[in-house]
Amino acid sequence: MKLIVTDLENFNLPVSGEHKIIKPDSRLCRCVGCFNCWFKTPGKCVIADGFDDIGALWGKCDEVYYVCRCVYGSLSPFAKNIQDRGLAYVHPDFVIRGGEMHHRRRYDNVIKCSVLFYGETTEGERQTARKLMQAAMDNYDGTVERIEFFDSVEDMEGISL
Amino acid sequence: MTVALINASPKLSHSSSWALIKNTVGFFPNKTNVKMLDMHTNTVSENTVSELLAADAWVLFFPLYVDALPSHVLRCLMQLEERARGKTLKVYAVINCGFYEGEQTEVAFEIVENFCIRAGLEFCGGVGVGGGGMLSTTPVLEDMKHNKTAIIHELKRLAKSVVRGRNHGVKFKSVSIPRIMYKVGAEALWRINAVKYGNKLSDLGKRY
Ligand SMILES: Cc1cc2nc3c(=O)[nH]c(=O)nc-3n(C[C@H](O)[C@H](O)[C@H](O)COP(=O)(O)O)c2cc1C
Repeated sequence: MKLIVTDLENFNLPVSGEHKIIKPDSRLCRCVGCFNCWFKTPGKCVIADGFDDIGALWGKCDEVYYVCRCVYGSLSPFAKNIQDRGLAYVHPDFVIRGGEMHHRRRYDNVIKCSVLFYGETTEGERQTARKLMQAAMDNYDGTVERIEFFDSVEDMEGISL
Repeated sequence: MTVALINASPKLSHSSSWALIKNTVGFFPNKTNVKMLDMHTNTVSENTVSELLAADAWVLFFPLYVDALPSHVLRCLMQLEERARGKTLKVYAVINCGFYEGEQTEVAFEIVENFCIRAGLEFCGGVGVGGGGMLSTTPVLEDMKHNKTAIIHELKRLAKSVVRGRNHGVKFKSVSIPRIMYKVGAEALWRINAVKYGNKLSDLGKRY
């Protein structure tokens, strides 16, 4: 399955195949760092705002797309909020990968992650964003498929996911 | 001078960020006006904004979330970007992470630096702290004070840099136990927590 996380209210890029789109929603709460998604209800977040199953959803995906504004070289706050709430995708135990500590897998799927960033960016921000997505996917034992930058939402016209 | 120590963990209490703040505050000389401010939620209150804008330096303390800033910290920085523009302000950060290697905070420092460039503020580095999981759950930081370990030493040097208005550079430190002990200790704690909530050990790996 493809998961598309976008901060665009009126996201309208064509998407093929089985997919789910997560769009801005005023009910969304921030992650409060309680780790109950590891110990109390392993695999699920305890915040009942309709976004408690992001980790489980990632476990069913082979592709994750973020379509969001690039903010200081990061995913935008909404997209980052969704990513943070998906912590339960990984098992709490540690493994050493590439000489660094990371988390053990909870699921077997290897996620291919792509990001379409929109908004004006500096070269420094673009470099940070590339490094960030590589680090995040190393962390979740997935791969980075494609990272693209568009000056505006309109410039994404013609792209399909 | 006025220095704002900003607790930007989303946790209201018992955070590692708070443990680090507690261990930094004592390193400032009495004549420094140290303000302890909170940034736990998606917005910065008007009072806090005023305090921040009146300061000469900010030291942001926050946890690493998926190799970057927690979403609420991003939102707060976006709120502050316009308000802080044009101020003569130096920005430092102390970023703690759950993995052992403080180096894993490197990209998050870049994000803070990119914020500073956008807001016209001076990015002055800070400390990336590995092994953050230990800082709030054990009294180890208190002990570390006596053992004079790497993190405490670096926080002391950071306070000196802040007072002198110097760029500290980005330094990485970790807790003073071997990585394998950190891993074993943390994983034992996970299991105690899971059982406390009535789960079986095998539930830790539950799939949906
Ligand atoms: C959603 C989420 C994502 C996290 N991502 C990372 C990470 O990428 N790397 C890491 O080392 N620790 C990560 N952590 C662990 C925290 O950085 C660590 O627990 C930290 O000590 C919490 O600090 P605090 O108590 O000041 O909030 C993450 C924690 C949460 C809740």
